Amino acid sequence: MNRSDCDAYAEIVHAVLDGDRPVEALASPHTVDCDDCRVLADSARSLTKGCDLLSRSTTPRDFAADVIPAIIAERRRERFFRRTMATAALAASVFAAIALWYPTRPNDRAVTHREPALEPNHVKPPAVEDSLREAGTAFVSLTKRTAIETLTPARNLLAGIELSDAIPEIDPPRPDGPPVASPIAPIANTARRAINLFIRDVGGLAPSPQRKS
Amino acid sequence: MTPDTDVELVRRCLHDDPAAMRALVERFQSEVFGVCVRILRHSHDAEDVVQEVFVRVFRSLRRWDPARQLRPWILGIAINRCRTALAKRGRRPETVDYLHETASTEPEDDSRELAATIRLAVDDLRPDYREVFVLFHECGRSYEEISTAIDRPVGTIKTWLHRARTEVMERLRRRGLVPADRTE
Repeated sequence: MNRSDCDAYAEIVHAVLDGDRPVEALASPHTVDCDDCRVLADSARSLTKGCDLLSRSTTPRDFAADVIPAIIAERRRERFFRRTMATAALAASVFAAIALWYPTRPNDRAVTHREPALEPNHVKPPAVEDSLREAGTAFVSLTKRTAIETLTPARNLLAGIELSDAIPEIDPPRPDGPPVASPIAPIANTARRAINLFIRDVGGLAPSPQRKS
Repeated sequence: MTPDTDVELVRRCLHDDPAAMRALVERFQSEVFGVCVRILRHSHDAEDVVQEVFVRVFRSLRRWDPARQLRPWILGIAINRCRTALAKRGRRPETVDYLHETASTEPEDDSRELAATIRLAVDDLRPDYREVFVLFHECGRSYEEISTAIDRPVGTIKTWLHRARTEVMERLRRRGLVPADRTE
């Protein structure tokens, strides 16, 4: 027994089952010697016979007559749905076109894009306290420089001298002595002149060069 | 009067010709019903599915390619609807109903048992093996038509059918329904 013979016989069996060869083709000398192939052949015969005996399912009576109305109804439903959807889509398109076109009309654009009316300007009058505070700030900023230039030499002067040495002793006025106002007469004219004299006498500070006396 | 070709029948159906629609249903109903009964194993479920199959056939008829055969296309729809019905059935207790079957001839020997055993063996097959076996041995469809209906290559169909036959024949041997041939 040759293995290739078994393979070849298996091909014959399947050809019979496929209907390509008659059942008589199963009768082969090979099956006399090969038990496996003989069993295969017997099984194929039983299967072929059994398949021929299989009863056919019968369609219910008037099946077509019953199913055709359902099919027609379904087709009508589908057609109605399709038309409804098409109409709805068309209506939606028209609506969208109108919605996009309406605000862009020239007349509507004038109405739509009109500038908002100016409202009356309701400005509160400033409070008296605020006005005074503002005026004070301006006055201080305007006079600050002059005040600093005026007071700085005096501040330096007062810090650098001994008041006890700088100020001459003044005798109390006597009824029979010179007049009271004579020793301090030079510094009684103006404050600026007094300070300049003071600086010159002391010699510690030079007078401001750009300042006219 | 010669019957319309499939293409002509479809053309008339697309024009909503009721006679053509009826003719198309009658042309394919027995085959579709047979496949559905064998796959679903229940005649009432099969009736519902067959009706659904034809509804879908007419719904999709515009998409049918006239260059292809109509029968495998319809059988493919039937197979798909059966799969869907089986999936819906899910784990529901399955009732096998073969009361609709009518034997063409009364068997004289153990042929009844042989046919019943083949039925049970086919029912126990894997679903795709069962589809192929039913389409080939009970509906008489060719490999190419089955390939088109199931959307699998012909080689796959041959392999599945070979395995299905092997399982069925093994079942027959175990049940002692394979008598030794005395003709040799």
